Amino acid sequence: MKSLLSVFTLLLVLLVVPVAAHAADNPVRLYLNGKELVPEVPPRLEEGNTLVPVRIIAEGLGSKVSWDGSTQKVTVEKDVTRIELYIGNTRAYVNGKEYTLEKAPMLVAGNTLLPVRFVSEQLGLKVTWDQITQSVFLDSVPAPASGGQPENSADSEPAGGDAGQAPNPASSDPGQNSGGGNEAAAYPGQSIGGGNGSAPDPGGSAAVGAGEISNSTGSPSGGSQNLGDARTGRPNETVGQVTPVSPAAIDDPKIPNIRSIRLIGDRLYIQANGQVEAKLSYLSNPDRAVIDLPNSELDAAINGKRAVQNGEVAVLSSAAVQKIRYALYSDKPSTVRVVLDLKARTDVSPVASNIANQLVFQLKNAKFKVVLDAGHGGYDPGAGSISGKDEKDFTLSMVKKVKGLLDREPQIQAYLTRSDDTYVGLDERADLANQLGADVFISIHGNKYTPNVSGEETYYCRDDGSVDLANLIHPYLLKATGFTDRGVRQADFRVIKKTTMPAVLLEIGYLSNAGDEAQMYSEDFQNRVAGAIVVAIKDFLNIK
Amino acid sequence: MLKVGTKAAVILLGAAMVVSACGKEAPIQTPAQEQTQGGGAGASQTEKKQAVIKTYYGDENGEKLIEKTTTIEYAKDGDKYLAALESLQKTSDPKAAALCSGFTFKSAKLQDGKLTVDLSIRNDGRWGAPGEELTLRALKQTAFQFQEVQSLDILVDGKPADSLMGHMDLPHPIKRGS
Repeated sequence: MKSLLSVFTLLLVLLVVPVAAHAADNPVRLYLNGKELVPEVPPRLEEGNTLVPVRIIAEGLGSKVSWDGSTQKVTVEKDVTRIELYIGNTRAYVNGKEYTLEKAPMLVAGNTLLPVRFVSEQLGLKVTWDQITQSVFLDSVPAPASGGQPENSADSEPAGGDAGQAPNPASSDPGQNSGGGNEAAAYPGQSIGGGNGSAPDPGGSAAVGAGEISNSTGSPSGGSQNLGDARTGRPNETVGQVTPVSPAAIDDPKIPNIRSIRLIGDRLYIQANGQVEAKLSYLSNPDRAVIDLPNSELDAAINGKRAVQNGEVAVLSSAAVQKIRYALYSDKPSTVRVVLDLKARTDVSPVASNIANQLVFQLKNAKFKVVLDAGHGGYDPGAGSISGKDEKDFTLSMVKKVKGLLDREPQIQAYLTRSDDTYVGLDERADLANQLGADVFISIHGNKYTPNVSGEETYYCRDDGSVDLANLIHPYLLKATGFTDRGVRQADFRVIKKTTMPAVLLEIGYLSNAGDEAQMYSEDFQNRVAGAIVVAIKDFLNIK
Repeated sequence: MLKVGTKAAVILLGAAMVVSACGKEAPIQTPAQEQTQGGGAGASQTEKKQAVIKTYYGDENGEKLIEKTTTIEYAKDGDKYLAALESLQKTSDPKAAALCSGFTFKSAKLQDGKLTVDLSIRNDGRWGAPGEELTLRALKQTAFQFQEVQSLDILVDGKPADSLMGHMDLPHPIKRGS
């Protein structure tokens, strides 16, 4: 039997309607997740409250029940959850937090009986009452939100965030926008519909509405979690609503539970009670790491909290992680998704654990990858300048200066498509960047046409973040060069066409123009322009 | 196409026959006969074919193509394409840029609908990225104005280069309409 105990493993029966019959005349039957329980002492109806024995429920859910005669205290323990109840006392404690019961626990023939309202409010158990058979059904799947509507539709944001867009820290759920398209494939999201309303009542629908049914455990974190999938272009995936399944299916002993998720230092620990495998992927805008655990369920007492559908792990102090969210993301197969909201670009890598059923991930600060492409090279000299110099030397000199500056940036790793006077094919340059999974591609060139044409041109090819990069970098270049503004333009130049990340080709100035050329080979000019390019890159990547 | 030479050739033939009627019997190979034979060796130097074609230049800002018409001259039919390409190399318009002025066109042969052009680029003949884009377009439009040209293969020094000037892709061949 699956243990779902999250806070309280007390079985309480709801009195749905002020029923005339007394408990003794109509023995109340008790079901937990579809299985009938036969306690030593039957459930009782007391002054509008139904009470049931705690022990049988607790043990049925796999928790430890202990009795302290001197204090008349019943302690129910499950994992990190500790519930303390006192006979005749309406005060109960859950991990030290105080709760007030509607009716004090009773001790009947050695059994502690507790009111059902408290159980349903704390445990995440759905309670239904069947008037006809006088049965209480306790199921570990709570009813979905009324109406089956996504709870956070108000939080929806438009899809398709741009690479340069800064995440909104004020947003209640920052993980909404689609990334720039260069992320690894995320787990195909499934929107879990709650449209069918509550789980089928075992025939007791006439009893609904009397006010005592506690059919909502209250969402633990105040709403569904948007653990969106950038790749499928559905940034507003709603998780946290679970398709109603029959009680027997939910309590599938074959599916391991995720019991705890912990971040300790720079390592993430996921503890299950059976073997689970993880699928790792990344989303951007903002940066998130996604760990999917197919064929797993959330333990009712995950991290010591009642959280059957979704929740958050607070992160107090971490350089990399802002917070951790988790949800029962899919029910076919049952999949738990853990999302790390990252503060900085982070690599998450699985590491071995010598604890059974535990997954460990090492978090490491990752750098942005910037590819710098010096145009031409080797047997392709590029354009000849009016003073007889080659374009290929200008471009190589420029990229080396930019790299020199980028090498001083701790969050950036720069790469060159060529570092000397060799020829590199156009496709090869793009392939290099694509295989690296680069974040930015910048190709540097010198222009040439008839002598009277001069000025700065910035080219992009694709509609993705490339346009933004071009628009962002162009003014920086204008300022640094002082050249005529010939604008941001679109063209099918091979290297910016074949790359799969934001890519631009910079025509810094005209080597055929006396005014431009006189500056382009000067050290001061090149340093100034290199500095401007670096500032623009940092701006684009949101690096301070 | 205007075969300007035909009438002159007929007149010459007539004149030659009149002269030869005086007693000479040696057959005279006239330009007209050579032409109808489809261009055998030893074409007359004075007889050339002409064609009015479209030709393309860059505008003074290096931003778009300018189309002009020009008359080209060539000896044999097959020489037409080379002549057309060579028109790209000069212009009298000060506001137009001859995009292929830095090229040497070595040959341009049509076979089975594919026009293979072999050219060299002088060191000073390379443009920047936008200039290359214009040049390629000029070459394409010049070649594809002839309906019999279905594809264009541009070789640099006899080889199928990666790119003409290092910015644009150079497919081998470039298909009409692409």
